[in-house]
Amino acid sequence: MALKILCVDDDQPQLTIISSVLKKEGYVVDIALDGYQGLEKARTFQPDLIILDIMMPGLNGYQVCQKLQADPETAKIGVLMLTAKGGVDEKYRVASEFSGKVKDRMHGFDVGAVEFLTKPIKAKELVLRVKAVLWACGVGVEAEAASS
Amino acid sequence: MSTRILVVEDSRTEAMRARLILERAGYQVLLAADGKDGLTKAVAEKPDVILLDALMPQMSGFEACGKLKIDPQTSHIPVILLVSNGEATDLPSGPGLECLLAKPYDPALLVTKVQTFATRGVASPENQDALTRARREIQNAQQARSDFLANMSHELRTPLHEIIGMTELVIATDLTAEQHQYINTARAASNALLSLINDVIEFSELEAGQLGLEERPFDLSEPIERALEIMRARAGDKGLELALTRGAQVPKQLIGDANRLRQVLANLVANAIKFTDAGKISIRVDAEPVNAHQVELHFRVSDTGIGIPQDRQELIFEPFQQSDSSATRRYGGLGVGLALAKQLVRLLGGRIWVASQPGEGSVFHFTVKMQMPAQVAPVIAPVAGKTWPRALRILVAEDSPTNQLIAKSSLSKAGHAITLAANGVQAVKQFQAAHENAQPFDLVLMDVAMPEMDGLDATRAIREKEKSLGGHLPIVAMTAFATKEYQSKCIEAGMDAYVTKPVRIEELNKTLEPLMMREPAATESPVNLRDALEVVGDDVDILRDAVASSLSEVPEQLQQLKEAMTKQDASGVEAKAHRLKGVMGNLGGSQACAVGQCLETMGEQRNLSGGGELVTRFESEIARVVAFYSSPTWEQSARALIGG
Repeated sequence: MALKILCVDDDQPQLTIISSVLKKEGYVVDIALDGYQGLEKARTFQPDLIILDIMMPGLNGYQVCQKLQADPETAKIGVLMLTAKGGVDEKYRVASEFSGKVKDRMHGFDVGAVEFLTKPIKAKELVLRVKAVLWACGVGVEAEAASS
Repeated sequence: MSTRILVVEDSRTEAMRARLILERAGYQVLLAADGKDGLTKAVAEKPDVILLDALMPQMSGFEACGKLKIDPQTSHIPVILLVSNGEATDLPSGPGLECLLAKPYDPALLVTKVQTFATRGVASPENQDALTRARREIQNAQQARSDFLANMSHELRTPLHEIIGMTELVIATDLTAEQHQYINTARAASNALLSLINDVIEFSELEAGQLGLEERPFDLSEPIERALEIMRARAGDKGLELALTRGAQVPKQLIGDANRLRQVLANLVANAIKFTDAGKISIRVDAEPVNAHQVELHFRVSDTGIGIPQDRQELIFEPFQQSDSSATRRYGGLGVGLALAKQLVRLLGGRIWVASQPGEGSVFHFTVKMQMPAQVAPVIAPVAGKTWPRALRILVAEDSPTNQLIAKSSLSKAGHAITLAANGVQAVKQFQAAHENAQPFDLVLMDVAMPEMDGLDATRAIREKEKSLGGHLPIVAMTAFATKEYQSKCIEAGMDAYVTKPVRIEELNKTLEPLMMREPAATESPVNLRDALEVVGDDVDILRDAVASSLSEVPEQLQQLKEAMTKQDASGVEAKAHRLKGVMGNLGGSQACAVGQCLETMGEQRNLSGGGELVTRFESEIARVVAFYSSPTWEQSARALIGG
């Protein structure tokens, strides 16, 4: 069965690109335009992986991530976070990686299941990183085993 | 039975290096040339440790590693992933890697790592911690190296600049034959030192993936002649003959990076001269068309020197390889020349190799791909002769009295009118005054590091004034900081070009030619299609969708940004600029993206002074991107780039 990916971003063109690239790779893709919608679809669509923009109005990516983690139904889903090069969010990311803050915030997640990707995102890198997170979550493993 | 290591590596040189190191340490080494081959051999041979290159064609090391970890037959085997420094930031939290090792690695370190994993086996939590640590160390080391290089090149080049500049001034005065000879020797030595420093810095930048290629039309004889010109004297000193042959098919006019080509050739010829005591060095160039747009040049540099034993023929292209071991010490002194040549050749789309018999001489071959001009209209109008149509009014902003003297005397000799400014504040004042007197400058040569106001700020101030005054004054940065990173800082500040100190007149003239001939309106494309295509994985359909979706929302976003700026709403400016910047970034609009970044930072720092003008500039940059994608021809260009 094809793996499912949910993309959460307030940037419509960005969603267009990501979902087209991933669909081409054979994933089933759904989109959400803000954090609230993202949380809802995480439950209904039950994706294997969520791609989450950090800087969004309303709920930001970190808040969405915390809520995902708090809900046992969504806590195990791998998350790939989008940051922008040189942006505030990236500085935050670097600072927190070194101070261990991300680890605290993501408590309960398998740290290996959370990854970051810097915009502008290159298609090749996106696909590789998605695969890596899926592997790290153990999802890719089952799928590979089932198909072989 | 001895411990067995499987080395999965697509580069033969790298593979041989690893084998050499590991075999000396007493391991048995198996080689695999790509990821697929590696997987097969891992299953069949059950090695004790696998050494895996991260970047390979077809199946990457990450992918191969994932597959190894899935297969129960191989999941227990420890994997050491080899990454180049430049790749370190892109590392995924790997699926079961035991260790990361940054290339180029220290042989002793490799052996230690292999030893550890061969005895301890795989994936205890403490190994995972070590992995995280290793990743962080690589990132830190990378930054430290980049800083070190920037400072080092500054520290080394500044005094050298003064030495070379002063030497050139002395040469131009009346000297006795004896004095002339002494000073010439001093100049040759300083130039040799400078080229060595340049080699080392460039090699490091190449390894870190920071060095780009230029694309401009050139006459093939120019790089060849320039390379040979310097070498003729050296060959003459040793009594060697230097001969050049051109194949019949070799085109005269090409498009590409002539400078890099010259560097490779100069390196190989210098190398040939060094190891040849008698006889001759012959250079031959042939050409073969690849397609209608491209030609492959094949250079051969043959010498009658000492030759290279079979087992060293691949290793000599590795950095510092020659001076590493005592057995090869007599080949020493090569440093990074051949390694640099190899990296440059790879950048130019070709390969390099050597055929040699000890005692009978060597033939170094290399190929490069260049574009043919019939297909591409030259961006820069050809310029006749080296003199300018008229004397130029040049503003030189430079705080060091020595450098002022050098710049002034050499430029005045060429007939130009020079005005000096000792810092950025003065430079901006001079610019303003010249404009008011209706005698504007034709050119600014701007030192970057100056007291009071540096060259970057002065450039920004001048560009700001030009918005109301109109026009675009070419500003050329002069700095001893030679890294690409620094160069992009200059360009971002609004400078047009860049020369490294020591500034030499010929180089300066070369940089100025296209600038002075260029139409005032910016001719560069607002969009880097290659970047945009990378974002969508070379899929024009996806790009078309993204363009449509982007263009439909840009006007509204821009309107909101303007409103936020009018209301002095800093966080609104930050959010909207962030959004538009992202949109422009995905479409390859790098200039627009850079301006957006400035606005975002302003918003983040809650300081919007001067933001209104920046918004206007952002708007015009965005308009250029929109205009680019509104013309239907972009799709053709995109398809041409993909080659489909």
